[in-house]
Amino acid sequence: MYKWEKIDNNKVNLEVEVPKEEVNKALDQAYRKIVKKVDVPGFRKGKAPRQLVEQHIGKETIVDEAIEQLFPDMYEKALTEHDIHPLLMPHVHLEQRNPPVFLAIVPLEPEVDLGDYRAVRVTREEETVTDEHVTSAIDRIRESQASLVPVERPLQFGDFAVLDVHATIEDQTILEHEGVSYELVEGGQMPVPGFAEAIVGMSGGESKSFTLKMPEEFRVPELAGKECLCNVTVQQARQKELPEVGDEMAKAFGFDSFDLLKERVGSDLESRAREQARTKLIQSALEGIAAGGTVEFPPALEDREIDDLLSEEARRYGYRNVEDYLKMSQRPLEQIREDLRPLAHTRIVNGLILSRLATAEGIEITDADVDNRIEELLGQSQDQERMREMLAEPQVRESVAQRLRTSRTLDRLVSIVTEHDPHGEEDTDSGSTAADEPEDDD
Amino acid sequence: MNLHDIIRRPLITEKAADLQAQDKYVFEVARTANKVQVKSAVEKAFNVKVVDVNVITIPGKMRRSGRRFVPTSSWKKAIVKLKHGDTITYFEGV
Repeated sequence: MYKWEKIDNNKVNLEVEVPKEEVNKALDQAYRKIVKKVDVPGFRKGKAPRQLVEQHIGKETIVDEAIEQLFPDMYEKALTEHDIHPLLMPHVHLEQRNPPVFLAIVPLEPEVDLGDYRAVRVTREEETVTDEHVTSAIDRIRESQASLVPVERPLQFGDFAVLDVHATIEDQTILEHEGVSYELVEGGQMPVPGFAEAIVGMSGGESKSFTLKMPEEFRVPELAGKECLCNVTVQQARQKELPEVGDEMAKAFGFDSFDLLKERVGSDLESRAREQARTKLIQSALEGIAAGGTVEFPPALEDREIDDLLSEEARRYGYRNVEDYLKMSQRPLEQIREDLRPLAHTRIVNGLILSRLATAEGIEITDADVDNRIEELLGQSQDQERMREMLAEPQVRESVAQRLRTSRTLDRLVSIVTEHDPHGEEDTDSGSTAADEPEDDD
Repeated sequence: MNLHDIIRRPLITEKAADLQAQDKYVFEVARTANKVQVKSAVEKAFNVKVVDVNVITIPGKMRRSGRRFVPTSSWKKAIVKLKHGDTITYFEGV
Protein backbone atom coordinates (compact mmCIF):
# COMPACT_ATOMS: atom_id res chain seq x y z
CA MET A 1 0.00 0.00 0.00
CA TYR A 2 2.78 2.41 0.79
CA LYS A 3 6.05 2.68 -0.91
CA TRP A 4 8.67 5.03 0.18
CA GLU A 5 12.07 5.93 -0.91
CA LYS A 6 14.50 8.28 0.61
CA ILE A 7 16.07 10.75 -1.73
CA ASP A 8 18.78 13.24 -1.05
CA ASN A 9 18.49 16.47 0.88
CA ASN A 10 16.39 14.77 3.45
CA LYS A 11 13.33 14.31 1.40
CA VAL A 12 11.21 11.22 1.21
CA ASN A 13 9.26 10.21 -1.80
CA LEU A 14 6.20 8.63 -0.37
CA GLU A 15 3.96 6.68 -2.66
CA VAL A 16 0.57 6.02 -1.20
CA GLU A 17 -1.85 3.71 -2.87
CA VAL A 18 -5.37 3.73 -1.55
CA PRO A 19 -7.35 0.48 -1.32
CA LYS A 20 -10.61 0.17 -3.29
CA GLU A 21 -13.09 0.14 -0.43
CA GLU A 22 -11.54 3.24 1.07
CA VAL A 23 -11.84 4.93 -2.28
CA ASN A 24 -15.50 4.03 -2.62
CA LYS A 25 -16.24 5.27 0.84
CA ALA A 26 -14.51 8.51 0.11
CA LEU A 27 -16.28 8.86 -3.22
CA ASP A 28 -19.60 8.40 -1.52
CA GLN A 29 -18.77 11.04 1.05
CA ALA A 30 -17.56 13.35 -1.65
CA TYR A 31 -20.80 12.93 -3.58
CA ARG A 32 -22.85 13.68 -0.54
CA LYS A 33 -20.86 16.81 0.08
CA ILE A 34 -20.91 18.02 -3.49
CA VAL A 35 -24.56 17.25 -4.21
CA LYS A 36 -25.56 19.92 -1.73
CA LYS A 37 -23.88 22.55 -3.82
CA VAL A 38 -24.64 21.64 -7.42
CA ASP A 39 -27.73 22.78 -9.19
CA VAL A 40 -29.14 20.10 -11.50
CA PRO A 41 -32.25 21.29 -13.38
CA GLY A 42 -35.31 19.43 -12.24
CA PHE A 43 -33.90 18.73 -8.79
CA ARG A 44 -33.72 20.63 -5.57
CA LYS A 45 -30.22 21.13 -4.20
CA GLY A 46 -28.97 18.00 -2.55
CA LYS A 47 -31.62 15.78 -4.12
CA ALA A 48 -30.04 14.84 -7.44
CA PRO A 49 -29.05 11.21 -7.86
CA ARG A 50 -25.34 10.46 -7.97
CA GLN A 51 -25.33 9.39 -11.58
CA LEU A 52 -26.86 12.66 -12.67
CA VAL A 53 -24.47 14.69 -10.57
CA GLU A 54 -21.58 12.84 -12.13
CA GLN A 55 -22.91 13.55 -15.60
CA HIS A 56 -23.60 17.12 -14.72
CA ILE A 57 -20.33 18.24 -13.19
CA GLY A 58 -18.05 15.50 -14.40
CA LYS A 59 -16.84 12.52 -12.50
CA GLU A 60 -13.43 14.13 -11.99
CA THR A 61 -14.80 16.71 -9.64
CA ILE A 62 -16.11 14.09 -7.28
CA VAL A 63 -12.92 12.08 -7.52
CA ASP A 64 -10.85 15.15 -6.72
CA GLU A 65 -13.00 15.95 -3.75
CA ALA A 66 -12.68 12.39 -2.54
CA ILE A 67 -8.93 12.52 -2.90
CA GLU A 68 -8.77 15.72 -0.96
CA GLN A 69 -10.62 14.03 1.87
CA LEU A 70 -8.67 10.86 1.55
CA PHE A 71 -5.15 12.18 1.43
CA PRO A 72 -4.61 13.63 4.91
CA ASP A 73 -5.76 10.38 6.48
CA MET A 74 -3.68 8.17 4.26
CA TYR A 75 -0.71 10.45 4.69
CA GLU A 76 -0.96 10.27 8.44
CA LYS A 77 -1.19 6.51 8.33
CA ALA A 78 1.72 6.17 5.98
CA LEU A 79 3.83 8.35 8.23
CA THR A 80 3.08 6.34 11.35
CA GLU A 81 3.62 3.10 9.55
CA HIS A 82 7.07 4.08 8.39
CA ASP A 83 7.95 6.23 11.33
CA ILE A 84 8.62 9.25 9.21
CA HIS A 85 8.72 12.62 10.90
CA PRO A 86 8.04 15.36 8.45
CA LEU A 87 9.46 18.77 9.13
CA LEU A 88 7.20 20.81 6.92
CA MET A 89 4.14 20.31 4.80
CA PRO A 90 4.71 17.82 2.01
CA HIS A 91 4.63 18.62 -1.62
CA VAL A 92 1.92 16.35 -2.95
CA HIS A 93 1.42 15.19 -6.43
CA LEU A 94 -1.33 12.91 -7.64
CA GLU A 95 0.38 10.26 -9.67
CA GLN A 96 -2.62 8.27 -10.76
CA ARG A 97 -6.33 8.76 -10.43
CA ASN A 98 -7.82 5.34 -10.47
CA PRO A 99 -6.94 3.81 -8.13
CA PRO A 100 -5.44 6.92 -6.59
CA VAL A 101 -1.72 6.89 -6.06
CA PHE A 102 -0.10 9.85 -4.37
CA LEU A 103 3.45 10.89 -4.58
CA ALA A 104 4.39 13.06 -1.66
CA ILE A 105 7.75 14.70 -1.29
CA VAL A 106 8.16 15.01 2.42
CA PRO A 107 10.83 17.25 3.91
CA LEU A 108 12.40 15.48 6.84
CA GLU A 109 14.01 16.60 10.04
CA PRO A 110 17.48 17.84 9.30
CA GLU A 111 20.16 15.33 9.84
CA VAL A 112 23.12 16.64 11.73
CA ASP A 113 26.26 14.74 12.29
CA LEU A 114 28.66 16.78 14.29
CA GLY A 115 31.52 14.50 13.48
CA ASP A 116 34.35 14.55 15.94
CA TYR A 117 33.46 17.99 17.13
CA ARG A 118 35.46 17.68 20.31
CA ALA A 119 38.58 17.45 18.21
CA VAL A 120 37.98 20.80 16.60
CA ARG A 121 40.50 23.31 17.86
CA VAL A 122 40.50 26.95 17.15
CA THR A 123 43.13 29.32 18.38
CA ARG A 124 41.83 32.44 19.89
CA GLU A 125 43.21 35.39 18.03
CA GLU A 126 42.81 38.26 20.30
CA GLU A 127 44.39 41.56 19.63
CA THR A 128 46.08 42.59 22.82
CA VAL A 129 45.33 46.10 23.82
CA THR A 130 48.62 47.97 24.07
CA ASP A 131 49.41 51.38 25.42
CA GLU A 132 49.58 52.62 21.85
CA HIS A 133 46.00 51.58 21.26
CA VAL A 134 44.91 53.39 24.36
CA THR A 135 46.88 56.48 23.45
CA SER A 136 45.50 56.63 19.95
CA ALA A 137 42.00 56.13 21.27
CA ILE A 138 42.53 58.99 23.67
CA ASP A 139 43.95 61.07 20.83
CA ARG A 140 40.78 60.48 18.89
CA ILE A 141 38.79 61.65 21.86
CA ARG A 142 40.94 64.76 22.14
CA GLU A 143 40.60 65.42 18.43
CA SER A 144 36.86 65.42 18.80
CA GLN A 145 37.15 67.96 21.59
CA ALA A 146 39.66 70.23 19.77
CA SER A 147 39.12 73.95 19.73
CA LEU A 148 40.59 76.59 17.42
CA VAL A 149 42.61 79.22 19.20
CA PRO A 150 43.89 82.42 17.55
CA VAL A 151 47.70 82.68 17.53
CA GLU A 152 50.01 85.60 16.92
CA ARG A 153 52.56 83.97 14.63
CA PRO A 154 53.08 83.14 10.97
CA LEU A 155 50.92 80.35 9.59
CA GLN A 156 52.23 76.85 9.76
CA PHE A 157 51.01 73.66 8.24
CA GLY A 158 48.29 72.21 10.37
CA ASP A 159 47.01 75.64 11.31
CA PHE A 160 43.65 77.06 10.38
CA ALA A 161 43.53 80.43 8.68
CA VAL A 162 40.62 82.81 8.40
CA LEU A 163 41.01 84.13 4.87
CA ASP A 164 39.56 86.58 2.39
CA VAL A 165 40.18 85.04 -0.98
CA HIS A 166 39.67 86.42 -4.43
CA ALA A 167 40.90 84.27 -7.28
CA THR A 168 40.61 84.98 -10.99
CA ILE A 169 41.55 83.18 -14.15
CA GLU A 170 41.82 85.42 -17.20
CA ASP A 171 39.84 88.14 -15.41
CA GLN A 172 37.11 85.73 -14.60
CA THR A 173 36.38 85.36 -10.90
CA ILE A 174 36.40 81.77 -9.88
CA LEU A 175 36.58 82.11 -6.14
CA GLU A 176 35.46 84.89 -3.86
CA HIS A 177 35.14 84.40 -0.14
CA GLU A 178 35.42 86.48 2.94
CA GLY A 179 36.33 85.10 6.31
CA VAL A 180 36.50 81.45 5.38
CA SER A 181 38.25 79.01 7.63
CA TYR A 182 40.94 77.11 5.79
CA GLU A 183 43.09 74.30 7.06
CA LEU A 184 46.64 74.33 5.81
CA VAL A 185 47.44 70.82 4.75
CA GLU A 186 50.85 70.20 3.32
CA GLY A 187 50.45 69.03 -0.28
CA GLY A 188 46.71 69.80 -0.12
CA GLN A 189 44.79 69.92 -3.37
CA MET A 190 42.13 72.39 -2.33
CA PRO A 191 41.25 74.75 -3.77
CA VAL A 192 44.28 74.66 -6.09
CA PRO A 193 47.42 72.64 -5.52
CA GLY A 194 50.08 74.83 -4.01
CA PHE A 195 47.64 77.16 -2.30
CA ALA A 196 48.55 76.06 1.20
CA GLU A 197 52.25 76.30 0.40
CA ALA A 198 51.73 79.82 -0.95
CA ILE A 199 50.14 81.19 2.18
CA VAL A 200 52.25 79.40 4.73
CA GLY A 201 54.35 81.88 6.67
CA MET A 202 51.84 84.70 6.36
CA SER A 203 50.68 86.38 9.52
CA GLY A 204 47.39 87.88 10.55
CA GLY A 205 46.50 91.04 8.64
CA GLU A 206 48.95 90.32 5.82
CA SER A 207 47.90 90.33 2.15
CA LYS A 208 49.53 88.60 -0.76
CA SER A 209 49.02 88.11 -4.48
CA PHE A 210 50.37 85.11 -6.27
CA THR A 211 49.71 83.02 -9.33
CA LEU A 212 49.23 79.29 -9.41
CA LYS A 213 49.04 77.04 -12.36
CA MET A 214 45.86 75.03 -12.56
CA PRO A 215 46.50 71.31 -12.93
CA GLU A 216 46.19 69.83 -16.42
CA GLU A 217 43.48 67.43 -15.33
CA PHE A 218 41.26 69.96 -13.61
CA ARG A 219 37.67 68.89 -13.25
CA VAL A 220 36.54 71.96 -15.20
CA PRO A 221 38.26 71.47 -18.56
CA GLU A 222 38.06 75.19 -19.55
CA LEU A 223 40.22 76.14 -16.58
CA ALA A 224 42.73 73.30 -16.78
CA GLY A 225 46.35 74.33 -17.14
CA LYS A 226 45.64 78.08 -16.88
CA GLU A 227 47.22 80.62 -14.59
CA CYS A 228 45.21 81.53 -11.56
CA LEU A 229 45.75 84.88 -9.88
CA CYS A 230 45.00 84.79 -6.20
CA ASN A 231 44.59 87.72 -3.83
CA VAL A 232 44.65 86.54 -0.29
CA THR A 233 44.32 88.40 2.97
CA VAL A 234 44.91 86.52 6.14
CA GLN A 235 42.58 87.84 8.81
CA GLN A 236 43.71 85.59 11.55
CA ALA A 237 45.87 82.59 12.12
CA ARG A 238 44.38 79.92 14.28
CA GLN A 239 45.84 76.88 15.85
CA LYS A 240 44.04 73.71 16.57
CA GLU A 241 44.35 73.14 20.26
CA LEU A 242 43.67 69.76 21.67
CA PRO A 243 42.48 69.56 25.23
CA GLU A 244 45.35 69.08 27.58
CA VAL A 245 45.84 65.49 28.64
CA GLY A 246 44.96 65.50 32.28
CA ASP A 247 42.25 65.50 34.88
CA GLU A 248 40.68 68.59 33.33
CA MET A 249 39.89 66.74 30.16
CA ALA A 250 38.68 63.69 32.04
CA LYS A 251 36.20 65.83 33.93
CA ALA A 252 34.62 66.92 30.66
CA PHE A 253 33.70 63.28 30.16
CA GLY A 254 32.50 62.79 33.69
CA PHE A 255 35.56 61.07 35.11
CA ASP A 256 37.26 62.21 38.28
CA SER A 257 40.77 61.84 37.00
CA PHE A 258 42.62 61.15 33.81
CA ASP A 259 43.75 57.78 35.07
CA LEU A 260 40.16 56.70 35.47
CA LEU A 261 39.40 57.80 31.94
CA LYS A 262 42.40 55.97 30.65
CA GLU A 263 41.42 52.88 32.55
CA ARG A 264 37.94 53.04 31.16
CA VAL A 265 39.14 53.49 27.60
CA GLY A 266 41.49 50.58 28.07
CA SER A 267 38.84 48.28 29.43
CA ASP A 268 36.41 49.31 26.70
CA LEU A 269 38.97 48.46 24.08
CA GLU A 270 39.75 45.20 25.80
CA SER A 271 36.17 44.10 26.04
CA ARG A 272 35.60 45.02 22.44
CA ALA A 273 38.64 43.05 21.38
CA ARG A 274 37.47 40.15 23.51
CA GLU A 275 34.02 40.28 21.98
CA GLN A 276 35.44 40.38 18.48
CA ALA A 277 37.80 37.54 19.20
CA ARG A 278 34.97 35.48 20.61
CA THR A 279 32.73 36.09 17.63
CA LYS A 280 35.54 35.16 15.30
CA LEU A 281 36.35 32.13 17.36
CA ILE A 282 32.76 30.91 17.33
CA GLN A 283 32.59 31.55 13.62
CA SER A 284 35.63 29.46 12.87
CA ALA A 285 34.58 26.81 15.37
CA LEU A 286 31.24 26.41 13.64
CA GLU A 287 32.97 26.33 10.30
CA GLY A 288 35.31 23.68 11.64
CA ILE A 289 32.51 21.52 12.90
CA ALA A 290 30.57 21.95 9.69
CA ALA A 291 33.62 20.88 7.71
CA GLY A 292 34.17 17.82 9.91
CA GLY A 293 30.57 16.71 10.09
CA THR A 294 27.57 16.67 7.83
CA VAL A 295 24.49 18.78 7.99
CA GLU A 296 21.66 17.81 5.73
CA PHE A 297 18.37 19.58 5.54
CA PRO A 298 15.54 19.81 3.05
CA PRO A 299 15.68 22.78 0.68
CA ALA A 300 12.24 23.83 1.85
CA LEU A 301 13.87 24.89 5.09
CA GLU A 302 16.23 27.14 3.25
CA ASP A 303 13.37 28.78 1.41
CA ARG A 304 11.61 29.43 4.66
CA GLU A 305 14.75 30.94 6.15
CA ILE A 306 15.03 33.20 3.13
CA ASP A 307 11.47 34.32 3.74
CA ASP A 308 12.41 35.17 7.30
CA LEU A 309 15.51 37.04 6.23
CA LEU A 310 13.54 38.94 3.68
CA SER A 311 10.95 40.15 6.14
CA GLU A 312 13.73 41.01 8.57
CA GLU A 313 15.42 43.06 5.89
CA ALA A 314 12.18 44.77 5.00
CA ARG A 315 11.61 45.68 8.61
CA ARG A 316 15.15 46.92 8.99
CA TYR A 317 14.65 49.36 6.16
CA GLY A 318 11.46 50.50 7.79
CA TYR A 319 8.86 48.87 5.60
CA ARG A 320 5.79 47.37 7.09
CA ASN A 321 5.84 44.26 4.94
CA VAL A 322 7.87 42.55 2.28
CA GLU A 323 5.58 43.71 -0.52
CA ASP A 324 6.27 47.37 0.20
CA TYR A 325 9.96 46.69 0.39
CA LEU A 326 9.95 44.89 -2.94
CA LYS A 327 8.10 47.76 -4.54
CA MET A 328 10.79 50.19 -3.45
CA SER A 329 13.72 47.98 -4.25
CA GLN A 330 14.95 47.97 -7.80
CA ARG A 331 15.88 44.33 -7.87
CA PRO A 332 13.53 41.51 -8.74
CA LEU A 333 12.40 39.23 -5.95
CA GLU A 334 14.15 36.23 -7.43
CA GLN A 335 17.51 37.95 -7.39
CA ILE A 336 17.11 39.16 -3.83
CA ARG A 337 16.22 35.67 -2.76
CA GLU A 338 19.25 34.23 -4.50
CA ASP A 339 21.47 36.82 -2.85
CA LEU A 340 20.15 35.84 0.54
CA ARG A 341 20.56 32.13 -0.09
CA PRO A 342 24.17 31.72 1.10
CA LEU A 343 23.41 33.64 4.27
CA ALA A 344 20.31 31.58 4.87
CA HIS A 345 22.34 28.45 4.34
CA THR A 346 24.97 29.43 6.89
CA ARG A 347 22.36 30.48 9.38
CA ILE A 348 20.57 27.17 9.12
CA VAL A 349 23.78 25.19 9.33
CA ASN A 350 24.96 27.14 12.36
CA GLY A 351 21.59 26.92 14.04
CA LEU A 352 21.38 23.19 13.47
CA ILE A 353 24.90 22.60 14.69
CA LEU A 354 24.26 24.60 17.83
CA SER A 355 21.02 22.88 18.67
CA ARG A 356 22.59 19.50 18.03
CA LEU A 357 25.55 20.51 20.12
CA ALA A 358 23.26 21.50 22.96
CA THR A 359 21.72 18.04 22.88
CA ALA A 360 25.06 16.29 22.55
CA GLU A 361 26.47 18.21 25.46
CA GLY A 362 23.34 17.77 27.52
CA ILE A 363 22.74 21.46 27.95
CA GLU A 364 19.38 21.94 29.48
CA ILE A 365 17.64 24.97 30.74
CA THR A 366 15.47 24.46 33.75
CA ASP A 367 12.57 26.56 34.91
CA ALA A 368 14.74 27.85 37.69
CA ASP A 369 17.31 29.04 35.17
CA VAL A 370 14.65 30.95 33.33
CA ASP A 371 13.39 32.45 36.57
CA ASN A 372 16.87 33.62 37.47
CA ARG A 373 17.38 35.14 34.09
CA ILE A 374 14.04 36.89 34.28
CA GLU A 375 14.99 38.35 37.65
CA GLU A 376 18.18 39.59 36.06
CA LEU A 377 16.27 41.21 33.26
CA LEU A 378 13.88 42.76 35.75
CA GLY A 379 16.77 44.28 37.58
CA GLN A 380 17.72 46.25 34.48
CA SER A 381 14.33 47.69 33.72
CA GLN A 382 12.59 50.72 35.14
CA ASP A 383 8.99 49.70 34.76
CA GLN A 384 9.23 46.52 36.74
CA GLU A 385 5.54 45.76 36.97
CA ARG A 386 4.97 45.86 33.26
CA MET A 387 8.14 43.94 32.55
CA ARG A 388 7.12 41.25 34.96
CA GLU A 389 3.77 40.89 33.26
CA MET A 390 5.38 40.73 29.87
CA LEU A 391 7.95 38.19 30.94
CA ALA A 392 5.29 35.97 32.42
CA GLU A 393 3.90 35.27 28.94
CA PRO A 394 4.68 31.68 27.97
CA GLN A 395 6.12 32.68 24.60
CA VAL A 396 8.41 35.20 26.21
CA ARG A 397 9.55 32.64 28.74
CA GLU A 398 10.15 30.26 25.90
CA SER A 399 12.27 32.76 24.04
CA VAL A 400 14.22 33.64 27.18
CA ALA A 401 14.92 29.95 27.67
CA GLN A 402 15.90 29.66 24.04
CA ARG A 403 18.36 32.50 24.31
CA LEU A 404 19.79 31.16 27.50
CA ARG A 405 20.29 27.81 25.86
CA THR A 406 22.03 29.37 22.90
CA SER A 407 24.36 31.44 25.02
CA ARG A 408 25.29 28.47 27.20
CA THR A 409 25.86 26.36 24.14
CA LEU A 410 28.09 29.05 22.73
CA ASP A 411 30.03 29.18 25.98
CA ARG A 412 30.46 25.45 25.84
CA LEU A 413 31.50 25.59 22.23
CA VAL A 414 34.13 28.16 23.04
CA SER A 415 35.50 26.12 25.89
CA ILE A 416 35.57 22.97 23.76
CA VAL A 417 37.47 24.45 20.89
CA THR A 418 39.93 26.23 23.13
CA GLU A 419 40.23 23.21 25.40
CA HIS A 420 39.33 25.20 28.39
CA ASP A 421 37.78 23.88 31.47
CA PRO A 422 34.03 24.35 30.96
CA HIS A 423 33.78 26.46 34.06
CA GLY A 424 36.56 28.91 33.33
CA GLU A 425 34.74 30.66 30.55
CA GLU A 426 35.63 34.26 31.07
CA ASP A 427 39.29 33.50 30.75
CA THR A 428 40.80 35.60 28.03
CA ASP A 429 44.27 34.31 27.23
CA SER A 430 44.63 32.74 23.90
CA GLY A 431 46.09 29.47 22.83
CA SER A 432 46.23 27.88 26.24
CA THR A 433 46.87 24.20 25.78
CA ALA A 434 45.55 22.55 28.86
CA ALA A 435 46.36 18.87 28.67
CA ASP A 436 43.22 17.53 30.31
CA GLU A 437 40.16 16.80 28.20
CA PRO A 438 37.06 18.80 28.96
CA GLU A 439 34.75 17.05 31.35
CA ASP A 440 31.57 15.51 30.02
CA ASP A 441 29.35 16.40 32.89
CA ASP A 442 28.21 19.90 33.55
CA MET B 1 -45.82 9.12 -37.00
CA ASN B 2 -42.17 8.37 -36.45
CA LEU B 3 -41.35 7.14 -32.98
CA HIS B 4 -38.92 9.96 -32.38
CA ASP B 5 -41.65 12.42 -33.17
CA ILE B 6 -43.81 10.83 -30.53
CA ILE B 7 -41.23 10.80 -27.73
CA ARG B 8 -39.87 14.33 -27.52
CA ARG B 9 -37.61 14.00 -24.50
CA PRO B 10 -37.38 12.24 -21.18
CA LEU B 11 -38.35 14.31 -18.16
CA ILE B 12 -35.56 14.14 -15.68
CA THR B 13 -36.70 15.64 -12.45
CA GLU B 14 -36.72 14.77 -8.82
CA LYS B 15 -40.23 13.47 -9.12
CA ALA B 16 -39.39 11.37 -12.18
CA ALA B 17 -36.35 10.00 -10.37
CA ASP B 18 -38.56 8.89 -7.50
CA LEU B 19 -40.99 7.21 -9.89
CA GLN B 20 -38.20 5.11 -11.33
CA ALA B 21 -38.38 3.07 -8.16
CA GLN B 22 -41.81 1.93 -9.34
CA ASP B 23 -40.50 1.10 -12.84
CA LYS B 24 -42.15 4.27 -14.13
CA TYR B 25 -40.46 6.55 -16.64
CA VAL B 26 -41.68 9.98 -17.61
CA PHE B 27 -41.54 11.57 -21.07
CA GLU B 28 -42.76 14.58 -22.85
CA VAL B 29 -44.66 13.28 -25.89
CA ALA B 30 -46.35 14.78 -28.92
CA ARG B 31 -49.68 16.43 -28.12
CA THR B 32 -51.37 14.37 -30.78
CA ALA B 33 -50.04 11.05 -29.56
CA ASN B 34 -52.27 8.63 -27.69
CA LYS B 35 -51.44 5.98 -25.13
CA VAL B 36 -51.19 3.22 -27.70
CA GLN B 37 -48.73 5.15 -29.82
CA VAL B 38 -46.62 6.05 -26.77
CA LYS B 39 -46.53 2.43 -25.69
CA SER B 40 -45.30 1.15 -29.02
CA ALA B 41 -42.82 4.01 -29.42
CA VAL B 42 -41.24 3.43 -26.04
CA GLU B 43 -41.09 -0.33 -26.59
CA LYS B 44 -39.35 0.15 -29.91
CA ALA B 45 -37.01 2.97 -28.88
CA PHE B 46 -35.70 1.42 -25.69
CA ASN B 47 -36.34 -2.25 -26.33
CA VAL B 48 -38.43 -2.74 -23.22
CA LYS B 49 -41.90 -4.09 -22.37
CA VAL B 50 -44.49 -1.46 -21.40
CA VAL B 51 -47.27 -2.57 -19.10
CA ASP B 52 -49.11 0.69 -18.55
CA VAL B 53 -49.23 4.25 -19.85
CA ASN B 54 -50.79 7.27 -18.20
CA VAL B 55 -50.97 10.53 -20.08
CA ILE B 56 -51.72 14.02 -18.84
CA THR B 57 -52.02 17.20 -20.81
CA ILE B 58 -50.20 19.90 -18.95
CA PRO B 59 -51.88 23.19 -19.76
CA GLY B 60 -49.72 26.07 -20.85
CA LYS B 61 -49.07 28.77 -18.32
CA MET B 62 -49.65 32.47 -18.63
CA ARG B 63 -46.38 34.26 -19.06
CA ARG B 64 -45.81 37.96 -19.53
CA SER B 65 -44.41 39.12 -22.78
CA GLY B 66 -43.98 42.85 -22.55
CA ARG B 67 -47.29 44.38 -21.57
CA ARG B 68 -49.40 41.37 -22.42
CA PHE B 69 -49.90 37.97 -20.88
CA VAL B 70 -49.51 35.22 -23.44
CA PRO B 71 -50.00 31.54 -22.80
CA THR B 72 -47.15 29.08 -23.26
CA SER B 73 -47.96 25.96 -25.21
CA SER B 74 -49.70 23.10 -23.54
CA TRP B 75 -47.90 19.76 -23.74
CA LYS B 76 -48.50 16.14 -23.04
CA LYS B 77 -46.74 14.13 -20.39
CA ALA B 78 -46.69 10.37 -20.45
CA ILE B 79 -45.87 8.20 -17.46
CA VAL B 80 -44.86 4.81 -18.75
CA LYS B 81 -44.75 1.79 -16.49
CA LEU B 82 -42.33 -0.89 -17.64
CA LYS B 83 -42.34 -4.57 -16.96
CA HIS B 84 -40.52 -5.08 -13.68
CA GLY B 85 -36.83 -5.52 -14.37
CA ASP B 86 -36.71 -3.48 -17.57
CA THR B 87 -34.80 -0.23 -17.39
CA ILE B 88 -34.15 2.74 -19.55
CA THR B 89 -30.90 4.66 -19.54
CA TYR B 90 -31.08 8.07 -21.06
CA PHE B 91 -28.36 8.94 -23.45
CA GLU B 92 -29.07 12.52 -24.12
CA GLY B 93 -27.37 14.84 -21.73
CA VAL B 94 -29.09 16.60 -18.93
